[in-house]
Amino acid sequence: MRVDPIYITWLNYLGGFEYFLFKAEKEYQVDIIESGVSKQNVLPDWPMSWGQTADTIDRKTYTKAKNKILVRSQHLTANQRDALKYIKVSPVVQIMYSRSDRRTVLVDTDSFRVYDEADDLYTMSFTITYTDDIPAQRL
Amino acid sequence: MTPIDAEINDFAGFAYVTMDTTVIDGQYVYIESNIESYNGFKLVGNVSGNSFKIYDRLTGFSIPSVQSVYATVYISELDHGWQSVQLPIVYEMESDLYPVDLADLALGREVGAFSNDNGYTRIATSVASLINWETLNYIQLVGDGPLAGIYQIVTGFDSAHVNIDLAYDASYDFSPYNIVEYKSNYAINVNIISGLMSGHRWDDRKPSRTISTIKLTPDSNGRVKFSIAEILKGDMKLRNNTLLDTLPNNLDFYTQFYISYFESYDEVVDGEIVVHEGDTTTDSFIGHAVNSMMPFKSLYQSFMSDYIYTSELSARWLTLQDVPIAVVGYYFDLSFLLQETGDVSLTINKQLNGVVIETELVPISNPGPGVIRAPIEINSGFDKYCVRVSTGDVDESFAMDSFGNTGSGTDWTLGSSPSVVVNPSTSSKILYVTYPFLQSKEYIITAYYDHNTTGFAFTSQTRVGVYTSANVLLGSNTEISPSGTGSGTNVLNYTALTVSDRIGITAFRGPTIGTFTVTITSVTIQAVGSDIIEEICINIITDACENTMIQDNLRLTEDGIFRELE
Repeated sequence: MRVDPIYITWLNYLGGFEYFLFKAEKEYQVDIIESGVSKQNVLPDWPMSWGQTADTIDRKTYTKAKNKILVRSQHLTANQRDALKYIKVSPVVQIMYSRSDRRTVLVDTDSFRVYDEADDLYTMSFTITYTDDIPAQRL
Repeated sequence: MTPIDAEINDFAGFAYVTMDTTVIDGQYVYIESNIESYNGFKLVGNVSGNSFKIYDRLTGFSIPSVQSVYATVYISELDHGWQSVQLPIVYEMESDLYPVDLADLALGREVGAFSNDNGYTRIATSVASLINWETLNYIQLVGDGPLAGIYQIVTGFDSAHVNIDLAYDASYDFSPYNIVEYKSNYAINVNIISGLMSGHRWDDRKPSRTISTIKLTPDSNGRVKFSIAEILKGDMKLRNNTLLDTLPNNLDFYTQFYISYFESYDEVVDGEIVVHEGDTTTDSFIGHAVNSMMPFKSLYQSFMSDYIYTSELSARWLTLQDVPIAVVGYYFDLSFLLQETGDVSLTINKQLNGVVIETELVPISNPGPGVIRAPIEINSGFDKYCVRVSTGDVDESFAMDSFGNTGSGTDWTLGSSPSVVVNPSTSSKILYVTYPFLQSKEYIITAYYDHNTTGFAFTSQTRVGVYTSANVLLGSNTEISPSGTGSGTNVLNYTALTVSDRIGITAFRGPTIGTFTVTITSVTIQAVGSDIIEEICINIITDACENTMIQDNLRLTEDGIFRELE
């Protein structure tokens, strides 16, 4: 768990950009998109391929993964809730580090949750996924 | 707009609206009442005093009276020309050449006689010869009956005798039909011109040019209806470029557009079929397309006019948050639509605990019409910013060599000091310059001039006027020049109630011996600035978390996470 705030900007349907700082606790996850495992053919090196010094038979060949963050925000008003839900349908959603540095993310629309709190306040959570893969070598 | 109380009563069977505000023929009003057929956008006509008839804006038919009711009327701002590119931007055209050439039909050309020519039907026209009678052309039999249709001319003999590709039958009855020349492969061709028109500050960055030509075939009523929104989307860039060169004008989300159109159809020249293209007509409507979408079934959010300002009513910001939240130290901006050329300024009232601590004025130097991303720097020590946008005061002198001649009369000699010599019983052309008037705003237009009148003085006059692009006079002031030489001023106080396009100066000489010479030395326009975008308040918060996102001791790693440096 990390509590770094995430500053997200998104394009609303009017043609303006919205900004919101998500300060509640987030969950940083690694989403494994796919990975591959190959089985070693032990026949060519037999009997060297068998015994204490031999390598394992199965080995991982590649992993395709992306960073994923479960973003949460608390104490939203009804208007903020209604405005923020358009993150779900916006074609441009970005984490904004600074004016010159932004990262485009994809919003998992199935992950959108809005909870009622007391006093007409709401909590919202959703998952964003980085568009680029996590760098990983492959065999 | 301000709602206006009105009554709708019966007048000769039609709905007749009476209210305290004057409207003019051709204006649109939006009506709310308890009678469904009165409601919605209606076209105004037959204005008499404070009363008028209402017409269906699509069919053009006047609305019949049902019951007398009280109603609320809003005067429409539909002529602002701003459009959402994510919704249809629709044009409709009607052809008088296709599917039937109506002018040719009106000639009443009939089949005078017909005969067998090697199995084909040879027809002789009764009256009005064919113009395009050569082989391979087409004719059309227009009328009710089994022979109605389109036939190619198999052999053209002369303007009154042709063989058509109709197998001969002696029992044919051509009496119900008119012969009309048919325009084969007829199409309405529409050029879509997109980009910033000349005079926009950034016209060199997104110059207007033809981005597409579409070919449309009219339906059986001769009409085509089409949307150019999808084509204009090609001039939009769906991205968030906070370092765009033209900011605060977000040119990614804005373009201007208009169309021009011409007809095309096949014709036979020297035995070969070639495509005939008619003259191109340029539409006078220049629209503004914005990368926006409006929700349906949402009375309070779905009107583009909410985001268009007049001097009477400020526009809304392009945000969905009533009270946006900004964070100290983080980039923040808000967008709005700017309709006119000129300087604007943000007025930021910075508050703490409900008290305005500081007022900052952020000038934006002539960003040009478009979607403006107003940059707002968030400082600590405040808990609320209230921001509004105002136009600067207009105080402008026109470059005299930018004036041109229009209308009829004696030409002005153009240049840095335009002049004209007007003879008896004549007037000059209109010496004009275009100007982007803001509706409902009050302007003072002053022309300074030197004059030389020979003969009787009272017949020498100058007129300063405001016109539409079609030279319809909307407001004017006339000054009489005394005899002899001298200098004068002509001041016009003008409120731009309708779409106004140009300022014009005209000189007149009555039917008296002598001449009237006028030399314009300068023309100025003044207006008081006004709020154009309504005030919005932004809550200011500080990032209270210990791990802020960017610190000097953090290093950005490849996966976008910051790592603390040792």
